[in-house]
Amino acid sequence: MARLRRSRIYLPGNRPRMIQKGPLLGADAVILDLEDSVSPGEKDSARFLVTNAIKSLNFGETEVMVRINPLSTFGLEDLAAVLPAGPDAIVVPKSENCQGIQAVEKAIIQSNLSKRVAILPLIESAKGILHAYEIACASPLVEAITFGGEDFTQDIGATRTRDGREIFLGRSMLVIAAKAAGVQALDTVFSDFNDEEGLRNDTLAIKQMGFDGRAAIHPSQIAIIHEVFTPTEAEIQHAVNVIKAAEIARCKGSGVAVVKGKMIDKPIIQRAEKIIRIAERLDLPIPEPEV
Amino acid sequence: MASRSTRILRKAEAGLDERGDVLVGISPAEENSGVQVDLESTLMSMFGDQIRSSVLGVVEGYGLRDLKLTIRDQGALDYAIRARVQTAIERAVREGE
Repeated sequence: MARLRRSRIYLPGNRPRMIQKGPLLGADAVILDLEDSVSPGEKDSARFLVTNAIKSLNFGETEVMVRINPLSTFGLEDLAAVLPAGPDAIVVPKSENCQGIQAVEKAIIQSNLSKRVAILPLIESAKGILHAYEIACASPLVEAITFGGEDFTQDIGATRTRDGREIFLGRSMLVIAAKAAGVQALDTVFSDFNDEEGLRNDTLAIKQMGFDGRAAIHPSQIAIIHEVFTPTEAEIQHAVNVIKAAEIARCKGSGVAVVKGKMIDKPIIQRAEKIIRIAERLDLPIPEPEV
Repeated sequence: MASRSTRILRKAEAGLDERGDVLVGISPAEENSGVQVDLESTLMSMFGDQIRSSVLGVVEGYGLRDLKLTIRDQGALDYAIRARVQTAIERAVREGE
């Protein structure tokens, strides 16, 4: 099973104070950012800082991602600097085709690391969305494709709104492409970090759409994102019941299982299994079945 | 990519003037004058020796001998101190600028 990526928080790559808070924030992943949060004149400085941080700080269970610059600007220099430090994943911004992902894959392979480094393409343009499936399939190192809502909105000439109508189709297409390719779908940030209700509602909506997690821009957003993406006791109980009912039906040679009057078929069983996997990963209590 | 000199070619700086960071300044020095470190830190009494040792370790790693360093530390961790010294050195030895 792929790593749990309910939340991933952006940390500016040239700010030591913020980087070293990373392991303490409780996010599933930190993104040490070399792109938008670092001015062009400080790219060299941020590379050294991020590289040394990965080598020296203990991030524990937190996945360490690095967002490099686009390959058309400083991306390859970023890769040459940070890969020897052994990050867990590389976030590739402005991904629009499989060639870019394959260039990153080549750099990872050539770095001869003893660990696996995942690739997370960041898709944030109309062209990128139309090529999302091809991008997701570009390398076996791609474990998730991620959506960049702010840049996407600008690219299509729309205006960002609180309810996100302008990005609905882009989000949907990204989820479909990710699932068709068998990788995770990870969503964009919710920019207004003072709007907790907006964040909760938006996160509930994207979970409903099929996303596996989303990005955060402020530590206060992490708990809300986790609350939404962590299975509830009732969901876990239902999942346990579904799996047990399916097992009983299989033992009886029956093709049909029923839980609380509802027929259980393969997609429902698969969803239940996913909930149990997440619960186990988070060490949540797994109750006995009530069937 | 620009090539690197084995000596300091120009003055350079790195780091941000904020808590948890360190400002590093580097400049050329006369031949055989050695490595001169002017260090101030908010944690001087506790970590002064350790900071100096980290700084000198980075300089030694580059094989540089004659230079002046000013270090204005505001509680940076070791990884950040080393990163800022590396950046300042790289900026000071880059040729063709």
